[in-house]
Amino acid sequence: MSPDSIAVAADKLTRTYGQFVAVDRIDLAVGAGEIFGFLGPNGAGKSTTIRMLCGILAPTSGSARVGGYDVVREPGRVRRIIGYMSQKFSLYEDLRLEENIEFFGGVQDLDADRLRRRKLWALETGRLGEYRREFTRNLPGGVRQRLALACATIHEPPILFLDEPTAGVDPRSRRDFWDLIHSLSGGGVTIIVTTHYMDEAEHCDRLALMHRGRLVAVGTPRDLKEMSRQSPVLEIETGDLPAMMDLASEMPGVLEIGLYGNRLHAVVRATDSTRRALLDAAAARNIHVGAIRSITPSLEDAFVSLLED
Amino acid sequence: MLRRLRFIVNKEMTQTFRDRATFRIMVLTPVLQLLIYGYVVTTDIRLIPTVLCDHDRSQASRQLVQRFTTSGYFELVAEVDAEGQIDTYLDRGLGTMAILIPPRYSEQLDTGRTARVQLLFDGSNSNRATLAQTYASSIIAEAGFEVVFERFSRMGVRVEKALLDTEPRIWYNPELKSLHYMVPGVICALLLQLLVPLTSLGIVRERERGTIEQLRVTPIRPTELILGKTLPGVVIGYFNVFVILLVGRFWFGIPLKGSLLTLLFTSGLFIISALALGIFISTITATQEQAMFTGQFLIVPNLLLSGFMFPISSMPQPMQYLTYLIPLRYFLEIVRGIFLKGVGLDVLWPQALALIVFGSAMLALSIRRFGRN
Repeated sequence: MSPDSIAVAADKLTRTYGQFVAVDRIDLAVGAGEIFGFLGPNGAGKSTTIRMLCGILAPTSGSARVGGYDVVREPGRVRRIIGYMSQKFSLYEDLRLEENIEFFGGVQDLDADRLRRRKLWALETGRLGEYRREFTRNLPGGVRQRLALACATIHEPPILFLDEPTAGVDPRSRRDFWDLIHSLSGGGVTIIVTTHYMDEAEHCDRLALMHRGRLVAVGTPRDLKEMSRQSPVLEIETGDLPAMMDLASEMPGVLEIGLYGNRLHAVVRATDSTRRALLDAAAARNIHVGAIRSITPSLEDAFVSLLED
Repeated sequence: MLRRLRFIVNKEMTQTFRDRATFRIMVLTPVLQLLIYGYVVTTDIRLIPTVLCDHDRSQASRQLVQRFTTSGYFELVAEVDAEGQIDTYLDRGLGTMAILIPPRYSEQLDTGRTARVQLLFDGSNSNRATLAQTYASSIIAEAGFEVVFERFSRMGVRVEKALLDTEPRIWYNPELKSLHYMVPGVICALLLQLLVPLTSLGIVRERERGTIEQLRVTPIRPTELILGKTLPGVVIGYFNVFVILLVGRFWFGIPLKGSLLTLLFTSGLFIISALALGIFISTITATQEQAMFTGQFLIVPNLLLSGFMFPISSMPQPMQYLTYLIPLRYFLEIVRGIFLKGVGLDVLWPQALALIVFGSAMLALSIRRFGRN
């Protein structure tokens, strides 16, 4: 990537709280117009990273540039070119929907004319028109999410940070929301999003897997799956999950075993030999096994196997 | 800068006035408090309930009692026959004072001997008892003089009545009505009680609800946010000043001797000081509850040390030094000065300056505290 086309860059970005290292020497380069996702479990350091990139939280060490501006030395400039949707819904519940839009447009220095145009845009694109006079506290989850996005983008920022934007929203509203994000991205906006929904991660151009404050891997969703393909995955159906799990974890050919719904996923060295060994061992211990089949690893599996390395 | 400030002020006003409960409190509090202070908290002593035990029942004893009742300070609530009965009234708080006139009172007066009238006081309210005693002593003394003059004149000696007299002039509040002194004080106390809690939630509420996160990524500067949260309170503060002035002037008939304009100007200084104190609290507390309690915690010593109820000059010296830190103290001096003495800023400028210093210091500290994290 040429320096011009890099929207967000981080260099050994670190944040500690006392002994606890929340974000550990992260290096990043996000290209302009990309949808870039941070994926990882709760407490992996995704939000902390985003808050540092937005200039809300000071890094303990390292540096980051957003839109070419240093987040520590030029937070004022950074603020003008970014939009930010925090993890917790953070608009005014006691204001009406349109009052929230007007307020955030006003403090983002839109002049009266532009504010009017952007408000219309927000109401239309976010399908918020029918709720415009509603108090924000009464809005359904999906509408609140779209309103938050409208307020975060009211000043047409070229770079948008979304921290778990769809947490606690029903699947239908999540799809709608991602349609909006894709249309923003189509307009050239760089989008940095955190999620712990694996299916959402598939929407991203590139993903960064985070675990315990560190970047474990960065790549396209396909890359990440490729990376993990060296370790195939067996899906096990069984009537006795705990016993099967114990058995599998003792088996030398099994690298990692995890529970997915009512099935087990085992990351293995070799598919066929391990499959036979598992069936034999289960039969010897009288554990009922429905089926063991080889599957294409999902992002979850990719994540689990990458954590192993 | 100004445009952003306008949007913040606008938002704060909308939120404040939309909350019906807050709105009611802000409108009702000044009226209610003023009525309470005006009618209840009067330190004037009038119609002291008095019990009479007259063992003499002569014309002379009746004349003495009449001196008490016509003075306006005493009211006969009971007449008892035996001294023992006096206790029942004093014990139950039905009487504050008792007059005990001995048998042969008039006979003693006529024969030129000393007549001893006993006065009993309920000292449990020391302030009231002291005043009652002062009034009663002067009435008895006057009656004593009458007796002396009468004896002289019977002996054929003419005496000028006034041997040594004072001619007291009470300035500023000639009738010494405590209401005239109280109402200006209420303006001060009320503004403090209303305005400190108003802004003390300002920043901490945004922090608790998480809205501060969203504000931090906007171009809003700390100064703009702090001012934006302070300015709506000025409107509310002035509204209260007007209500109190109107009720005080037209309901209680309290005259304003000085300039209304000076009063309004200095009120503004105090309003900003009180709001700034509140906003500072909101920058140093973590939850809304903490902020409320901190506010309440600060209001009480402010009231006690301001001279609103208890004169500063009667406080121990170290306490008196402490009062210099209390903005209410300066505003009380200003308001009483303007209301009662009719003086202007040529006299009151040091107090006005103290308010400006206090208010700006609080605002500056708040902006610094907020900007740091």
